Amino acid sequence: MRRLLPLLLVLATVFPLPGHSDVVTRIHDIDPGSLGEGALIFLATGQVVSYPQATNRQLNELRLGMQSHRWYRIKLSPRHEILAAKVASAPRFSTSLLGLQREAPEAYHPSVLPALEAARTQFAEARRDFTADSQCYDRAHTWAYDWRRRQLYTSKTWLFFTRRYIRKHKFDWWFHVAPSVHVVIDGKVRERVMDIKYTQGPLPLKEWTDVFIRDNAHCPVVETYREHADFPESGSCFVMKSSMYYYRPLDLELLDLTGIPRDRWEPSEVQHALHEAFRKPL
Amino acid sequence: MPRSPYLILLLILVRGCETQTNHDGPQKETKADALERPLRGPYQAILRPITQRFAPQFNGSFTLVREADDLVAGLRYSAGVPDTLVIQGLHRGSRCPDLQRDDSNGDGHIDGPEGAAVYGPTLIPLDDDLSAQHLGGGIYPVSDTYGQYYWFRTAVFSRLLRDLREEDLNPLDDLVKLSPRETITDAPLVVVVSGVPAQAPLPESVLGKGSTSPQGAYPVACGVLLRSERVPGKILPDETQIPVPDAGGVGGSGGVDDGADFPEPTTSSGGSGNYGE
Repeated sequence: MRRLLPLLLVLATVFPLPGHSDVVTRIHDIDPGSLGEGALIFLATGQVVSYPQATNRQLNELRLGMQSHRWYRIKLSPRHEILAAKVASAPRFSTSLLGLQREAPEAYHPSVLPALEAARTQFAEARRDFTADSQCYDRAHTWAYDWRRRQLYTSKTWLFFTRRYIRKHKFDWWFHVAPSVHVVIDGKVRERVMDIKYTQGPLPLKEWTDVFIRDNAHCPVVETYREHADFPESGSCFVMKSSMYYYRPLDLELLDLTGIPRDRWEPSEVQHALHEAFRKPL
Repeated sequence: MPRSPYLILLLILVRGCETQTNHDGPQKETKADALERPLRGPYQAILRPITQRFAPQFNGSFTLVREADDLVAGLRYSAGVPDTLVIQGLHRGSRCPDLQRDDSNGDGHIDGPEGAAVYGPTLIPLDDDLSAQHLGGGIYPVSDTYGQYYWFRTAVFSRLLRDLREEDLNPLDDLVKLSPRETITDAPLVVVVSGVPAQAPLPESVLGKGSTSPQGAYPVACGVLLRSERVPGKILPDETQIPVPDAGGVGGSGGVDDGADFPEPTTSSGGSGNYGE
């Protein structure tokens, strides 16, 4: 048995234990967490994870990496704890600044489906072969692009969880996003969120946020990124709406900073989203 | 004293209910708690650039909240000065400086001393450790290449309050203490972030402060700390303002298709339809 132990250790390194996951991402923020509990690491993927084994030096290195916008390959346990974090190469697409300087195309207007049944059909026919550890923004971007190829212009609904909510409920995410469509229902145009992974069909906003918000609080809709970012201790959540072209929260923040809206697809982002969420080749 | 054991038991139960806890933790009534109740917050300062010289597009905010004996402070620094050490602090002042009123030497800059004359000395340095004025070691955040960072720290509130009420052993430094009966929010407070790149050219009329260089002491943005009563945003009705289109076609328009070549979607089963990971 003793002779087998080194081999077992090697195998355990090469073949991770079931339930562990790897993610390549940047660090969005490091929250000290409540006193007596460890720091919370906000990943750019939207996940909130902990690093209970981290030394002060390791946390400081992550902080420096965050400031330098370094990419990391992070191994997570099933309990969303960081087991290892190593500096990694940036993916092929790099920043959302791409495309901002191009010529302005035609203005964006969302499509309006004639009835809820049409939205249900699109929901049912959307691709579902996403990986278990896929990120919400990669899935949402791929579905939105698929519908765009069928001339269906959709939107995106972003849900931001406040720090207060994350600490109180030890919640695992700091944001979530799903595509949404406009539909004629009872003679009015209403928006329905199409969260194919987490819901059974198109949902009104409150019903969708109730899936994630444990205290059933209303999530006010804000128009700028800073409106929710400046209120991390107020309420439980905020919602933002955008066109289908916005890929990650950074894109919403850049809109705030530059005033330049995203008005087209960035090919490298679309392909990256498809590869990351559905393991299709680039 | 009732002699019946049942009444004694009832008394014990009643006294137990009087010390119920809520999800903020046990409520222990102490003198400090009674004085500090207004600090439960959240408090917020919206930071705005002091001048247009170094970060005219700067936007940011500071929040402060107390949960039981936890003090949580956070600062968002955005579109600020890139790659720079930022000295941030909570000052005992009632307003932020402005060029028209406070440029005492008329050089077109508000430097450290001119700013401090308005926003006052530092009550709480927003450095690496909020528990006490001197524990943070002067370790402050550094903005990234885009002039951005998020900073959050927690501290034991009662420990900080004790430190702030201690005797001021060095009245000549920039730090100020509270008097023994004062609370943190008794007087107005102002949040200031200072620091421009070390190599930023500044006229000789721009002065440093204490041992801090003119660039290090240069105040970039400021905001008055106020109790945050409102939550932004709106609870929207289900219906939108978009008019119902004419029958036939779903309409919609947007950017030109980029021509990315995707495989056609396959319809395989997947997705739990349940919430949570």
